[in-house]
Amino acid sequence: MNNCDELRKELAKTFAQLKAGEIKTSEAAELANLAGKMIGSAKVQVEYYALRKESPCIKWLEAEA
Amino acid sequence: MTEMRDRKAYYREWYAKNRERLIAKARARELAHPEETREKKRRWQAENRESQKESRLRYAKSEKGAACYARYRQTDTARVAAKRKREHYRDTLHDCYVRRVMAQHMGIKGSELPQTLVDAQRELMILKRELTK
Repeated sequence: MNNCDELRKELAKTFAQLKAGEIKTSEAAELANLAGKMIGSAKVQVEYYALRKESPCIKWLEAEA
Repeated sequence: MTEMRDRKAYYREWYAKNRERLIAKARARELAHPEETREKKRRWQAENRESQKESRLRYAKSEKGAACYARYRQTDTARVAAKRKREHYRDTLHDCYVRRVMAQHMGIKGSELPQTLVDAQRELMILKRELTK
């Protein structure tokens, strides 16, 4: 997972698989937990730069062209 | 030139005399042709959307408008409408709801969060909702 967009796609895929019964609830829960951690860490980074009044380009948050 | 001014003055006088009748006539036509009227109104709104928005904002920012809106917000109708709107945003995971939830324990505003992060958070919320069903 190289960026936020890929994470979003992965989450959407997991949701579809969960709906179709292709993966177990525990598996999906693990992925949701991990995704939460990744988003949380990105949030901290965004907050840090915003509080420092800096706006660097965070590669992980860049959308795919 | 004088003749034109006279004609204008005459028309103004004539309109003042017949104003009520003309308005009633126009209203009767509107009622007789509802679809045409609706189409005309839709067209007008589409053409004047921006100016209408500006006008509304100008009024809301004025002293009179701000007082009026503040009075409206105190009414039960406004409270119910606001609650319905909030619930709609929550159920549909609207951008503003996701941003607000994300920024709850942060030192920045929700509007400062990048859109890609908000989209990812929305997917996560959808998945979590499904897991807790």
